[in-house]
Amino acid sequence: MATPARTDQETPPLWRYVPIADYRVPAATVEHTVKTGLCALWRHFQPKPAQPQSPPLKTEDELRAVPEARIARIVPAPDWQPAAAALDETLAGWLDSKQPASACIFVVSPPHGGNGDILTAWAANRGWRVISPPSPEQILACDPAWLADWTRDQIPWVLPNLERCYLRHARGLDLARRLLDHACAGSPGRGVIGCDSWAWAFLRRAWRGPEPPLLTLQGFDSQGLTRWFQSFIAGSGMDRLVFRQADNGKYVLPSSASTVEDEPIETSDFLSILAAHSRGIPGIAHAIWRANLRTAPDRTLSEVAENEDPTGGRSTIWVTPWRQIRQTTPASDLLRKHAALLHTLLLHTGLTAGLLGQLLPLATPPVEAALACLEAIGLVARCENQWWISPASYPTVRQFLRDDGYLIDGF
Amino acid sequence: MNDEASRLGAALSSISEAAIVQILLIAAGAWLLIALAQRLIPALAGRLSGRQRLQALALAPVLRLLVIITTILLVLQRIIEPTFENLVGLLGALGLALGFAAKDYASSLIAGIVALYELPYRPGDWIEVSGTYGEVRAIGMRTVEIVTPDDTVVHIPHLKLWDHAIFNANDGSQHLQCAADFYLHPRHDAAQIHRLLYDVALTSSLLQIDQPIGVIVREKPFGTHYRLKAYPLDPRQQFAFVTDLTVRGKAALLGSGVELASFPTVAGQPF
Repeated sequence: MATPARTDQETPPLWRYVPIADYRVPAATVEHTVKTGLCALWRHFQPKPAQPQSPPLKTEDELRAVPEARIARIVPAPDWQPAAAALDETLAGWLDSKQPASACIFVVSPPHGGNGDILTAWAANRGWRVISPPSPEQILACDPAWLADWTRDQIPWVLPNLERCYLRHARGLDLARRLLDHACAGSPGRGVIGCDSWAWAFLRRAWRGPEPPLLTLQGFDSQGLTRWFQSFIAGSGMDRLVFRQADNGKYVLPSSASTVEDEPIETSDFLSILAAHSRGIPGIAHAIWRANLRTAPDRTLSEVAENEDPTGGRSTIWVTPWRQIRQTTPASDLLRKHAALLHTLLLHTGLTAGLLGQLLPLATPPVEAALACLEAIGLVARCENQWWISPASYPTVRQFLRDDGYLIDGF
Repeated sequence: MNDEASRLGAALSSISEAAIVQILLIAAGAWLLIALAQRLIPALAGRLSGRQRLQALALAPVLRLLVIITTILLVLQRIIEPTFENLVGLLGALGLALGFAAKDYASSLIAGIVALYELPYRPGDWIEVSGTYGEVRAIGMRTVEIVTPDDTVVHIPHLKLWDHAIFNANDGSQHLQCAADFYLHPRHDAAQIHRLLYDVALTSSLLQIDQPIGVIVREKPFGTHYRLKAYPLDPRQQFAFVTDLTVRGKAALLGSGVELASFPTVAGQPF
């Protein structure tokens, strides 16, 4: 595949907020869709993964993970400020309006989309106050004081994490319903509510209010991912890097050096597959990208020789082929056994083990043991006592829950 | 008629040894195919879930019927010349024999074919026939095999189709309604309890959320009867679902300060 020629046409902004109805999930290539479908069918009935037929250019044994200090420069933690600026631009009309049609705007985003961070950054930029979520005890008691504390003044406000204001518990919905009623009626003044897409899918069924204005951050397609990852490299001071697929040497991340002397080079469809697999969610694409970069052992990135790229004095970062990444899919029996737990974690965007135990049915396996088992295979991760669905496994878990009839988000 | 019978008799008596061997091979092949389908399809369906599982399970009886029809046609070709007169004679003789000797057996076989067409039950359905409730595991030629919630396998002859009511709880779909009952002391705010029980169902992890939730309230002589109705994600989860609704419902009711109805009594005597 030849590298596409650059056009002088104006490229769309990387960070873009759109009405939720206009959100588009990046599509996979037809070839990848067919391969994935056949592989999934095969995995159903054949536990052993198929072996590649031709020897790869670089086997996994020949490569090692990029050192932590270097990977932090090549793929740094996402900077959400550009997204906050894009949100500001999108909300400009609403902010300028003296009598807006709706006092409250909702910004909904899938897990690992950085929604809470973006809204917090935007609130800081604007000088709006950020509302902290209630404690689980306040939620279960439907504590009126929490709501009264911040709704009595008409100061502009941002509630970045609506998903932290409810629990899927018989007594865990009333506070969120009251909050939504108040916010949509405009009684606390002008505000922005951020919500995770899974929590929103559930709350729309629990709260019978009218559909409020909904915005979302448009997911990244392959071009968006290319630009985003390139911006990391540009800011790292290591712009002599090239990214090639380990099995066939095709170029994964085009750079200014992708063509030499007008000779086209073969590019990989890795980023197209990554965009489709991650459903365009920045945090998920970022985590998968970061976890699958490799370098040849005993070579620093400044060294040439084996790692040197034929296009001239550049060091190579090898990218694990997509086929190998897909092979780590957990067994469907395991997913089925813990489906309720995984679904509950997604609906709440992370929970403590104690709270999780209160929300699950009696018949589910013991929570602590189940979480340890799921952590061992990378399906869940822990951060400060909160358990989350790990970014790398989110697409797999979502797909499984959809197939098993669970409520899923719209992203 | 005598003429036809003698012609059929002559045709049957002229079957060669080679034809008999062929018939045996065809029958063995058919038996093998059916046995394979009966084992492989449920095994493969077990790896699937939801609607895909039900669709895969439904293949087994249809496949078996196709194999049987094909086998009969192939065997008939080898026994008699397949003319109209010969077929009428043969089928008439078979019908007479079955009618006298194995009426119920034949009736079940025919009902089995009707069951494949009318679909009163399919593999994966939860049915009740003559007071026996369970999940249809397989549809055989003569019987339907169901597994009760107590893990007992029950074979029910298809001929029950003719004169018994067949209760099918999910009718080939994933939607099976469950109900949990609560009996409360009559002095309470019924609207509040209605909302609370609705939320009990809505917040169950096992709920099929896009199906309706119903709360039926009835006044009884000894208290108020609440019937909470909802659909579990998978029909096989029905008992876990009802347990979940009951346990969490009871906890929520007690937490709200409502008193449960006590054993019905009238003026100090048992009701």
